[in-house]
Amino acid sequence: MVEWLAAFWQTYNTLVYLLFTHAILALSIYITLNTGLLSVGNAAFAGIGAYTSALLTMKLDLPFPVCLAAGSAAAGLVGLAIGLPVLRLSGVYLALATLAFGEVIRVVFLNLEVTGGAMGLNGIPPKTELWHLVLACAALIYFFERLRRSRLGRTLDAIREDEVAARVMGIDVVYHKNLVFVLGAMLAGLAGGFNAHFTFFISPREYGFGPAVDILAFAVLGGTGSYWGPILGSTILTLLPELLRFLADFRGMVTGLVLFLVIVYLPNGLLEVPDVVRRMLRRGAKP
Amino acid sequence: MLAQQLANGIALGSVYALFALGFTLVFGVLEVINLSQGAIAMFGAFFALAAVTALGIGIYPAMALAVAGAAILGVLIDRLALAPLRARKAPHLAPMIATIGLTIFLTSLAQGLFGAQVSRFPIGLVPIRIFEVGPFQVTQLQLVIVAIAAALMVALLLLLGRTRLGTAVRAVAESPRAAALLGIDVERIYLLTAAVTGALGGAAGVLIGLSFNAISPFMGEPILLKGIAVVILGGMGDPKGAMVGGVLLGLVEVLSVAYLSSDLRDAIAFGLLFLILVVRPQGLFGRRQARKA
Amino acid sequence: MSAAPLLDIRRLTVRFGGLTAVADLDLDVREGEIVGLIGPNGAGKTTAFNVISGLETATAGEVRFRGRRISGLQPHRITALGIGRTFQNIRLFGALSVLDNVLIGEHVRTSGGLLDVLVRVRREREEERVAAARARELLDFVGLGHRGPERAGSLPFGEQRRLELARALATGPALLLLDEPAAGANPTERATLVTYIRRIRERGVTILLIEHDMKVVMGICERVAVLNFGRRIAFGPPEAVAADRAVVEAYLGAEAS
Repeated sequence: MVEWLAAFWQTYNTLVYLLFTHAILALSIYITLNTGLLSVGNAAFAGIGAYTSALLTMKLDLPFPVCLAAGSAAAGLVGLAIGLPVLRLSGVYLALATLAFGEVIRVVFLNLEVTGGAMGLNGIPPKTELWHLVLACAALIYFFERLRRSRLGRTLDAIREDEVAARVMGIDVVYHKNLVFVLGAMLAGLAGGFNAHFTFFISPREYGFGPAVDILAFAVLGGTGSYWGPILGSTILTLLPELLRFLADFRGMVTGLVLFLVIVYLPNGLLEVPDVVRRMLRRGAKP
Repeated sequence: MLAQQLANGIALGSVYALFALGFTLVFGVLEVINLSQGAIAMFGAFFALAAVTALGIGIYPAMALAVAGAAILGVLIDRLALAPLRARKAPHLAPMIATIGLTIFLTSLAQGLFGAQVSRFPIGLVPIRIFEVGPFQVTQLQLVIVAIAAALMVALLLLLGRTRLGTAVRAVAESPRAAALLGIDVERIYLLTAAVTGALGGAAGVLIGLSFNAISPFMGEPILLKGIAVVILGGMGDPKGAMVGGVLLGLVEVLSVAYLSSDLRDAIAFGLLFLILVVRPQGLFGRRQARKA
Repeated sequence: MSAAPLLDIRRLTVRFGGLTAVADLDLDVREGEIVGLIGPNGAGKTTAFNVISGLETATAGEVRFRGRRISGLQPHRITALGIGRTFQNIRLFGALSVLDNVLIGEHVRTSGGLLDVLVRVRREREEERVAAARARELLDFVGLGHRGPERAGSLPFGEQRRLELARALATGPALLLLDEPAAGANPTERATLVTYIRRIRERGVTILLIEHDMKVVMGICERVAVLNFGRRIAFGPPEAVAADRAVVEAYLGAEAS
């Protein structure tokens, strides 16, 4: 049994780590989506967190918590700087602006000497341990659970539901949009920091358009009715490629199809499935 | 030197313009960001390659086949993904994500069908000849690219501006409800738009495949990102803006490679894009208006 | 009656491009009054409300509240100063619960932020308790005490109006702007509404309301201002206004024909 576990861990530890960092990324986009902001810059923020923390570890050999915090803070600072101009946009324009921002950041990683250019950073010491990730996720779930039933949580709900009515209720909409944008950036930065410290290697392509879309897909697949939705989505989309390994190059077809079918037929994500089933049963019960 | 770079920039820019034209047309008429445009272009390039290698035909008939195939693909995407969302009056986020899903699907499909490696057109498909036009030295390929892109763009502008059908398209773009009241079959216009934008995407894909002589399942993403940049540069939904924006981006890229550094090419393009969204979200040439979508 | 007015609008003008929505409007509302704002559709009433609550900016002129200039301030600041409002086409937070709608209204009277979510658990709980009690009292006041956990969007129309009233009161306003509170209501609902408006005034809240229903206006307003094409054509006690020739021609006449 112990041997089996050890063998399993040997093969799948990276996958398990990924489940957790992807869950953090999913929560990082949930907090903005839940406020009605479609920001797709979180892959770039994850990149900022990853590079910052990895460089601090490699060059200065600072303690791991300090590196993580610095990576998260760096992402948050960049978020703060671009938040004010960008958050004046809404809907698809905000999405496109954050997408463009993500590309700029990727190209910056690609061209800076300190980030190792296209080759990225190699030989990052593995510092992330499972209990770090479990602890971080538990803390985040506690945070989101408290947020849900707090004044701040209601305020964010109000902004998502009706911005004009929210302003008239005395809510400073600009401040709160910036707040969640920065929080989202910091969470993504944290996930990036964790990620860099168990993959040994990071490069710009891990933080480009594709990963940005993946993070969005986590939230869409699970649904944003509750913070559990994005976590569910990230778990499924992280496991799916593993489970579909036998499909080889065609694997992406299933991922793409799932995403497409969910958005067209289950607009509120997988979280909605119990409701849909209940509705169908009720309709079936009535002759 | 400068003249030469200008010629190269215009050739590259005209392809960007062609691609962006399809992208902006969907936004103008359907008010939808169709992120599968890049995958359509990629498939267009593969269609042409398959026609050239399997059927042994020349590049021009192959291109016609590819454009037709891409148009069908465009219609399929509209029917399968966009039409149900329209019927449901889904928020703007939904079609964006649905087309992302389709992009992932199509990219993977192409990877499975054609392999992940870079494929190339046979050498000499377009004769390698160099012409002197005034101060410019241009290859026959560049001339072909600019000519085809320009012809398609002019054709589209004439279609939109001078025909009854074009008037109907513009009416639908303005207000689908009002257009329907005027007796315009709105769904048919959507279908036509999907076919035309698919065709434009496919044509752009073939031309990009030709100009870099590299076709791969992953070529769609950079094209798409450039297309988004151009459309924002020129103002969302504005066909003329897309054309000017495309040429502008082509010039900026070529000149920044020539005079600054090749690494900075994309940084400049997207930095410009980001800046424009922040300071002039209506695009370089657009009128100021509330941008709520 | 000689005290300075609670709300004082001076020579307010609002233009959208070539269109003048409000022209040179003068209006004052004294503490404890119920003032009506009437006029044909498109007369600029809602625009005036939007300027008072900060959603639109004045082209010229100014709005003073308790002697302080508020035109140009952000809406959330104006709400914090003590002006609440409702909307003509009800703008509730439809997907949220009835209770949450009122709690959101209490935003300016509470202070919990990020820190409270993270660490100040005790302080936050106490504040939530007080806020919820106050919200329940307001829901009882508008007769929705039993509806707390339901989705606001699922309430019948009349109850949505009352919920919006409770939500506006939750901001703790000294002045309440009501934009056509009786619109779309049946005669019974209208009668209930009138009693609610009176009782709100008894709570010490001054009221400025836009209304089309002349019975409502004549029944409860101490003074009525009539707007036509953005201009004030009459201002005074309801009887005097109703007898005014210009008003009869511009407004009542138009309705009678």
